[in-house]
This record gives sequence, C-alpha cells and structure tokens, in this order.
Amino acid sequence: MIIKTSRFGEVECQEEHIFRFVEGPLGFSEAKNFIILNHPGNAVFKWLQSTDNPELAFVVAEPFYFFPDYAFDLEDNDVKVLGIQDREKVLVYTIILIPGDPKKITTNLKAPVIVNGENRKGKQVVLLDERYSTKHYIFPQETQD
Amino acid sequence: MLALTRKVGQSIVIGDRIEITVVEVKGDQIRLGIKAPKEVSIYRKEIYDEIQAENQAAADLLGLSPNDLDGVLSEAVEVTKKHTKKI
Repeated sequence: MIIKTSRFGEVECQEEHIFRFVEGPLGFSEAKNFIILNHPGNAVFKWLQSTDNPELAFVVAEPFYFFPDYAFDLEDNDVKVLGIQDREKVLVYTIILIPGDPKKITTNLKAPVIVNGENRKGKQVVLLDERYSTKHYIFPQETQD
Repeated sequence: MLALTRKVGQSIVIGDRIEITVVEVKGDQIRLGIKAPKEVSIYRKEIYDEIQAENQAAADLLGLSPNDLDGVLSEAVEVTKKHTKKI
C-alpha cells in the first residue's frame, strides 16, 4: 500500500509493517497507525510517521544509544494492553525535539514509545520514575567557551 | 463543570466502566482510587499537559521548511557521529 507523507512524499509500505497504537501519542489520540521510516543517511534518527495524517511525524531514536543506563519497569497495565510476552520483541523509541541549535537536541525519556514487534501494537507510555523528564540533552553540554 | 460533594469512602461513576472513590482526605490533599478498564490511561493532569506540549513541539518540526529541517538534521547527524566516536 502507498502511504502519503508530507516529508517523504508517497512511501510504499506493507500493511503488516504498520504499528497499531492502542491510543495515539498524548495530544494526538486520534493518530493510531504509524510506520517507522529510517532517516536517509543516518542510522540513529528514525521517523515515526502517521499513516493517517501525512503531516504528522516525529523524529525518534533508540534512547539506549545515548543513554546506555536508561531502564524502566513497564506497568502491568501497559504490558497487558500491548500484549507483551517476550521482552526481546519490545522496541523502545523516544521522541526527539530539535531546536534551532542541533547541539541542544533533547529527547523525552519520561514518555517513551513502546512497540511490541510480535503483534505490532504500540503506545506512548508515561513513566512514574522521577529520574526521567521530558527533556534530556542527548549530547554532552559543553560548559567552557 | 459539574461539581459533586462526596465523603470519604463514597464514589462517583462515569459511564459504565469508570469509578472514582475518595479514599482519604488529609488537609488540602485528597487521595482518589480509580477503577477503569485497562485501555483507559490515567494521568496526573500536569504530567499529561507537559507531555502533550512536548509531543506538540516535536511534531511542529515539520513546520520548518524542508531545507531548514534537513540542515538541522544533517548537522545533528554530524554532531551524533562526533560524539558517538567517543562512546
């Protein structure tokens, strides 16, 4: 099938590659179907592109790449709604916020996007863990100069 | 907004499937118990608002012209490469 995107134009995609969100990302509850597209020429950033709304897309990344110690417990309820049986099949992405200065890119570790590769269900969950906030710099911030 | 008066131990029911009970009142703090189906997410409003705003800001990226966004992203990619060499 063909997905329309405002950024990449028309994208060919297999029906079975679409992630079905239990509920859309917070503030976008109607957006329930997404695909993950690679960012051309870059293995770190990906696009979480809505298949319903060509204009809705988020830049995401695998947070463990920048934060090797990032860890959290999913609430039982989220484990149930996502139908998670095998944790090895679970993918975690966090949404990236890109300001004018790329060195100041932040990511939202408080509300990761969890997708279950086994049944392709997804959800943005909110962690109770106080260590994580909605804005973590992904690059070390230089204090000199 | 509908306002209802309840005592500790009393509840309100929203639709068929959501029940909210006043568990405890201590000074100006009220502890609520919530029964809801597992598909219904429950958030503290300030956290919900914060994440919604963050999502909105991230989605607004596409409001940048494609050229500007490409510039920022390629620069981000370069910065990523520089930093990941150190890892």
